Amino acid sequence: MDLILQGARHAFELLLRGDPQVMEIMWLSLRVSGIATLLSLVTGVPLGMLLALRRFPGRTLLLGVINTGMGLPPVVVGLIASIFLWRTGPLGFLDLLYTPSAIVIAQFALAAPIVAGLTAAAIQQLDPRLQVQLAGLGASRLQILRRLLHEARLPLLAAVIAGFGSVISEVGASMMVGGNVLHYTRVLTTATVLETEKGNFDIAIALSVVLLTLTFCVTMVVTTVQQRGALRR
Amino acid sequence: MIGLVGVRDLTVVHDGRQVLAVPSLDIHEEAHVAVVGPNGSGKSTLLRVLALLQRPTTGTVLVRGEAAPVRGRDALALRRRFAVVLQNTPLCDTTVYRNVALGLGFRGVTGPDADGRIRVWLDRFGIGHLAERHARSLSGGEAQRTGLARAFVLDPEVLFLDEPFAALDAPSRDSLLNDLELILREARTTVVTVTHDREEAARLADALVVLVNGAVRAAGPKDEVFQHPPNREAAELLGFTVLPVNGRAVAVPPGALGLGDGVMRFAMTVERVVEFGYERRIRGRVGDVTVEVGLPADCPPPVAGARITIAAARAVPIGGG
Repeated sequence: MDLILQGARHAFELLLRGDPQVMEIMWLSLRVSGIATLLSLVTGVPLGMLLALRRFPGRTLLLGVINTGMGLPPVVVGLIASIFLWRTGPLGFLDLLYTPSAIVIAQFALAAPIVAGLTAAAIQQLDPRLQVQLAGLGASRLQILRRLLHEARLPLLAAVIAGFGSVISEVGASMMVGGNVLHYTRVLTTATVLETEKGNFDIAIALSVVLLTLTFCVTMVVTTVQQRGALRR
Repeated sequence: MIGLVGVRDLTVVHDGRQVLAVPSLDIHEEAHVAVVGPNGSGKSTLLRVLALLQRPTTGTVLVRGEAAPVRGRDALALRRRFAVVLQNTPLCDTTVYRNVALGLGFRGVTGPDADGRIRVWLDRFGIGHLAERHARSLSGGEAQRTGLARAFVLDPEVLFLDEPFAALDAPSRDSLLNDLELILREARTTVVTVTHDREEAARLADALVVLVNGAVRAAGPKDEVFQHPPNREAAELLGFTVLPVNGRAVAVPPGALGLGDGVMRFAMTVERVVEFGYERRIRGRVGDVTVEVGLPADCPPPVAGARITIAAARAVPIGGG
């Protein structure tokens, strides 16, 4: 118990002081996971909508693969990404292993199925006749899609929260493809593991508190947007 | 005379079953047409095909005599000359005002111009005071009024209404039917209403299309179809009682059968007396047709199995003439 209190106190000191190393790690975590989440939205939302609205051969199989992907172990993703990015691997020429970009790629692979799966579910729970009704009011194909996204905005924001939450908190993939290189690829989770292994429990706890605070703040912003939308009824 | 919208050689096949086969049908400009049919007769499908929301399996949809394009900008431009209100029309998750503004927004009409039109139609449907209410908090009648205002505000060339009163309780339905009847009387828009209800059809339309099992069984001006139903199916669907007379079938209009005098008499075998509280009706059979007639308050009820004589105040032969 003392350890936790001590760690918490240390965390606040680090935060208040604006400790440059913590700030650097925090900023990198936010940037890497933020970009990965954005990329997963850009690809996952259209993919989810396609799965929700279209019937095509292999659709159920694809949906099954995506739903499986929603629970993908980060270590496995890290391993596969490492193999691909390895100097002799198929994407080795990109020379991305042990860079922040490599972490973005691995985290994108983790978040995209979550966003796609939740988007598909969000769109499918809308009244299927709504599309026909909107077309009957003169909506173009694009206007219909935009309106459907608007109608499903609450569960879609939940998808954003779930996607970001999964990548900011994972450690396996970041460790494997990032390598936990100081000042370069060290993020909050990998730093926490390292400090714990070194026996610096207070710093590890401090980093965990920073991680939780960061996740809470980002989630709170999205939740506020979501609930403002929910109350404006 | 070429119709405003119409179909030629239309068939729609769904899951291997033919749900619609209409060789030719024209809806004329400014006509108020009711498509009447029982559930599953294909009338909603016909509406969607006419409104360019569903592609037929074979055949063409004509708009002012020209085949309607099925995709691309031209198809969208054409679709925007129409407006559709689906059965239990799904409203969007926003206010009444914004729901009514939707179609105008799709056409790029916003600002004061849109606002003026929206207010007019909210008021005409008696929901001006609900403008800022969320669609989710509306009663069935209010929601349906919002759905109708949302289509009327577009001032479409053709307005398609699919069962506009389905799922409404009797008082809401009655008041909306009355309002819609008055609004349609003033409107110069062409209106196609799909309904299973003869009363709605009679009150909202000046022309009828009777659809049974995906085929048109009667079509023409309302008076003509009601006065000379062309066949038994159409007559029964329009509420006529079809009875045999000397080997021929005659159609007795709704409410024209009774115990009093009339132009034709029939022998009825009494089955039972139905008590409504406010009236009593005798239920029985003429030949193998089930009929009901009102029993005046001062008459003693007949016993089951008794044979009584009933009369039709009016009757029309089936098949014209």
